[in-house]
Amino acid sequence: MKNFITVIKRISIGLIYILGWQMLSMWVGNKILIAGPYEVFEALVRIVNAEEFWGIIKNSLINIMTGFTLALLFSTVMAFAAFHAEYLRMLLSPAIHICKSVPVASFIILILIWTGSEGIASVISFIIAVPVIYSGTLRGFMDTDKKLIDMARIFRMKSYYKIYYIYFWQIRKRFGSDAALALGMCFKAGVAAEVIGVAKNTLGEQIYLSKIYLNTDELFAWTIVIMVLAFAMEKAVKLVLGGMEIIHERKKSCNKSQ
Amino acid sequence: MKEKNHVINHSEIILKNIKLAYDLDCIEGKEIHIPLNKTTVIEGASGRGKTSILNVLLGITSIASGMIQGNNLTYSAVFQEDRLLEELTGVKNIKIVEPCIKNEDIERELEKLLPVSYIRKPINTYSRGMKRRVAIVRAMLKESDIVVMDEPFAGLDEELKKRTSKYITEVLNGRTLIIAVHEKKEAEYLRIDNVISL
Repeated sequence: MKNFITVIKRISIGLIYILGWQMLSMWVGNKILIAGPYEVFEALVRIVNAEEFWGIIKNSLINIMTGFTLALLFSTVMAFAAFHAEYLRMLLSPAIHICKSVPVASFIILILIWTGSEGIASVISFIIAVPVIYSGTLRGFMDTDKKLIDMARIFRMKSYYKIYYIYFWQIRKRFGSDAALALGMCFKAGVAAEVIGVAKNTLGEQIYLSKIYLNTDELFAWTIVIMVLAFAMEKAVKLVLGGMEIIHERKKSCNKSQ
Repeated sequence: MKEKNHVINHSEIILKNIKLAYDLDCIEGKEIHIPLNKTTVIEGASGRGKTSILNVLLGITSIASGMIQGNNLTYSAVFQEDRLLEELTGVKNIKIVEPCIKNEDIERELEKLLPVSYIRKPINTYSRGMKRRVAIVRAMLKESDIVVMDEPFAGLDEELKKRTSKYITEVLNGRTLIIAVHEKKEAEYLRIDNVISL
């Protein structure tokens, strides 16, 4: 019953937003400035049914997810190495600060000059995700209970168990939320890079074309597609990273029911 | 990386004039002999340095000066805090330190000290005393030359203390046991060979 009420509340909130959007578009009365929900829905149906739709989705998704996945692996390994080696930690610190503080647009232009627009979303996603995941993971490792590390040493615990049960378990919750945050940023920055670089057959290119032809309804429709993709990927990543925890939680509930 | 910096003379471990990085007058200038393959009780009130001595032996605390005679002995321990992985089961907590033992064997050992229904539950559902007993079983089942226990019976009632002591005696199998307690009588159900009063 409580869940049902929550669902009703959420649907009503969604309807209020759509209604507000419709009223605003009617008040402005110019589809180029603000396309209404109905026009956007029509545009959405049109672009989804277009032949090249899935190819565009595939290209952008592969680019962004490649950069993100590489960043995930690189950051985790580097954070673990930096946790054990203070010098490496110090060495990486300026690079991480540079990645954090330099505007994304500067990186995009630089990559365009160096390599052109092909695969630009991968490189930008990597640059954007690394500092978020690296910093969070390193902080997680640094917060690892020293007493447990001592226990593992005294009991001569195997490296695999030590890494998995002491370090990984310590960082897993933070890791999931940091990865989800980084993924959201990857989508934003990756698509922005495709827009600036006008990368062929990508989501960014479609947004760029919407701007050129003043197709505000398509701009909104592609934006909705990107939001849905980012949301779906975030859920998928959380599912994969949290998989082990879910299995563990299930085990726990089985034990409790016994 | 800390090292276990002690040597043995084949029959005992000797700690001579050890001085820690922090001030602990009560153990400074003392010579402590711990016979091997015997049970030694280190007794003393809080703050007398019992845990510090155990930590030095385990390589957790480094010494600033002095000498510890010993060599490559292996240890298992019951720490003052249980140092168990709270989200893992009792069985899993033991399995990860001694993977060679079968789960059924670990369960059988745990059943000697714990209610059967709890053995496969995560540690965070255990009471303080139950956690203590898992820590004791873990230390006893880990293959080691020396078992170190810091106030192992804290939080256990008389009956459990008796049962746990019996279990320790059975599983010890001639190994060296070093046990720190406030008063010797806390270890009354164990066969004590040597007492060090601080």
